[in-house]
Amino acid sequence: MTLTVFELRRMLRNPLIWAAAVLAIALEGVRAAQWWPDLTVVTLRAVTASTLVAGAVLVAANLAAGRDRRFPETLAALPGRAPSRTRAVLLAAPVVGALAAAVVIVPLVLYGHLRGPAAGSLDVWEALNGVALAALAATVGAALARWTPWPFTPLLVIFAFLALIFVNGLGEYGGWALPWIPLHDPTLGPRPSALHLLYLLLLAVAIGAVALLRHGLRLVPAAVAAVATAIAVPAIAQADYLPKPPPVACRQLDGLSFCPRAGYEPWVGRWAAALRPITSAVPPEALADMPALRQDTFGGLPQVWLTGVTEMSVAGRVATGVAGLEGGPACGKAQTVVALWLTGLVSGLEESAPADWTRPPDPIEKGPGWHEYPLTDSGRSSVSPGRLPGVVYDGADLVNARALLADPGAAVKVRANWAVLTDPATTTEQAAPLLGIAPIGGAKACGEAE
Amino acid sequence: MEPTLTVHDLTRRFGRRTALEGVSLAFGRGVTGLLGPNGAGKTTLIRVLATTLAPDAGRVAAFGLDPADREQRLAIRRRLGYLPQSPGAYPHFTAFELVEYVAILKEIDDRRARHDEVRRVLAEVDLGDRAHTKVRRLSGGMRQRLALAQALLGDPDLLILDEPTVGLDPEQRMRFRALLSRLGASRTVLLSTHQTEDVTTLCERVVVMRTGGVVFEGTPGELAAQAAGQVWLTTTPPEGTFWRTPDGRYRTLGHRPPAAVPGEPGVEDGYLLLLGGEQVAA
Ligand SMILES: Nc1ncnc2c1ncn2[C@@H]1O[C@H](COP(=O)(O)OP(=O)(O)OP(=O)(O)O)[C@@H](O)[C@H]1O
Ligand SMILES: [Mg+2]
Repeated sequence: MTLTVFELRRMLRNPLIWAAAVLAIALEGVRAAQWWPDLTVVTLRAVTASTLVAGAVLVAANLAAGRDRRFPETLAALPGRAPSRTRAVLLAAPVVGALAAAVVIVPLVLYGHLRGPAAGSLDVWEALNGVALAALAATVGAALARWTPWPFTPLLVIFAFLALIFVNGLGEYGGWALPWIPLHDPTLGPRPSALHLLYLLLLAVAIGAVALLRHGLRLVPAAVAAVATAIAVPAIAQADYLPKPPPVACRQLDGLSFCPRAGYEPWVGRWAAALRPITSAVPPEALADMPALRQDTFGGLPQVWLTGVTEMSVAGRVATGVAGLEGGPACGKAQTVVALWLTGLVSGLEESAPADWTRPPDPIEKGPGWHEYPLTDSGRSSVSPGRLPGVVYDGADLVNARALLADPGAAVKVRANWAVLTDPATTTEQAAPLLGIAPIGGAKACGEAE
Repeated sequence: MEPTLTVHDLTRRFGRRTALEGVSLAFGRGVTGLLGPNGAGKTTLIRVLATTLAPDAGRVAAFGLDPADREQRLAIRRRLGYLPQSPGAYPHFTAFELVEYVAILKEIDDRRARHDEVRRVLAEVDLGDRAHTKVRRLSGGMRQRLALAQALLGDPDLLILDEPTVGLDPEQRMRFRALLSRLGASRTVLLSTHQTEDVTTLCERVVVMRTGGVVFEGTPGELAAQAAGQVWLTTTPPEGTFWRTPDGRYRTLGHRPPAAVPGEPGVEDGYLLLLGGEQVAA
């Protein structure tokens, strides 16, 4: 007991563990600030950040449990014996590890919660997975110290763990038997977090018992290891995503219909606000034909929200829809210029091709809304999402849309001529007098030379 | 008086090498010095006595207890202070933490009593002002003193020290001798050393080992007496092995060189003649 307290106090003062905790909070906190708070994602990310602490705890527990290799002869002659030293580390290190993990996870989740309106749901079991993971790492560190004499095995184990969870982020190999699965596909349903927590705790107990078995094959640790493994393995083998909650009702706002996934209702107002430059620029009847924006389909509303990037992609979807574009080549059409202009209202058009870029390299379509441009003359490859999903346009359309964006009276002109401008037969050249721009490019196939 | 520690017909082998063979000894209160050349078996004997190494054959008893028995071994360890030849240390502990860690394993459970005791033993080895220095920042001699400090924890009845004076500066060696002389008055102290001066200045008894066996057992005076009539002083360098004395003369052992006067035999002379008499005196 005295020894456990001693180890506890030492571990509590371990700079490695607390440096890892501070680093985890800082790294994840900075990153989180760019995303709309989504408690489901925030919790997963916080636990993933806390794996840094788990790694530090693994090393610290390993050093503590392996400490007596540094002065074996002195310790051998003392009444306090090796199993009690192992036991003290096995009790102290998981407690401190769990505490340090909680110190990382709680503020990150709270930060997400307080930044509201937060979507998603806070799964306490999921958060506790991080706490259990650090405790498990502590027992692994201690067991490694007892069973392997090499000081670098903890680093190898940490490396293997990182490879498993980050290269194999959705648990493609190993599934729920992995100590942690950092990524989540919400369309699959809620994760079996409570079961996974139980699994981690049982694993920690089993590995702790295995560490003690190094001191001799005793009945109690052998039985504990066997029972814990016997429960943990079948339990995790049949773990699966939970049934999806029923869909929630769609909500009308600013003339659009938003259909969030369960738990994402708080974001409807934010979605609408992000799209307001478009919804307030187009005539109301243009919005009437827009299909509902659904969050649970690919190409619909986003699952997560990265400020600056996600606005552009959602704006692209809505702009394409209201302008009546149907996908495929659309160079030189008034529709295309209007749609690009609408996205420009939300996120500007600066980042696109340079103004003198009238003949873009032919884009290679990689998927809906994704065009990859081949190497440019300067030798750089530019990979960028097209602004308008499924629609192929070129630099001339961008230049024309940018001219329109520069005109403060553009909204009035567009609204007044909406029907003509969104007619697929109208070319940019024909629409130029209505828009008050001097277009470049002319009517031509996409990528065609002047 | 009943001896604290007895060994009878002790044998220990490492593979084909015999480190101890048929050693029988008894140690009572007072300080006993263990001398012998490298590889003589001193450390092996000490490890058996300190319960960290089991003998292949023979009997050991400390305080009448048998270290082969688990419970009795524990009882011996509770009354033992041990400084190994290579004590090692944990570099990330402070001096205080290292000694406290050992104190906990010595079952000094009360926190306040333990801290007092740690401070006491650190003061005994003159490390009071280095208590909060990390072990890796201590000098070699300071580490040796730290290792000695942990052996003193709990004021053990039996103190076994393997080469305790290695690396100590002259002042610390004096301090150590004073400490052990005091402790030896009421306890059983066994120390191995290569410094015959340690034996002269603080041991009541001396045991000399060679190739796993005991070749001498007696008082330091008796060991010195082995060289009676074989220590010579000359004013010019004699033939064979010799060394200088502080007063500028030459000292040699064995046959009398021409124009030599007899010198006063010391423990070292006795020891050298006992072990390598033939070569030294050649
Ligand atoms: N762990 C071991 N494994 C193998 N041989 C050993 C071991 N320990 C000691 N020996 C051998 O036993 C013999 C006695 O060694 P021991 O360490 O007892 O000598 P010592 O008298 O303490 O020597 P020194 O003065 O150098 O410390 C030596 O021949 C040594 O090589
Ligand atoms: Mg030795």
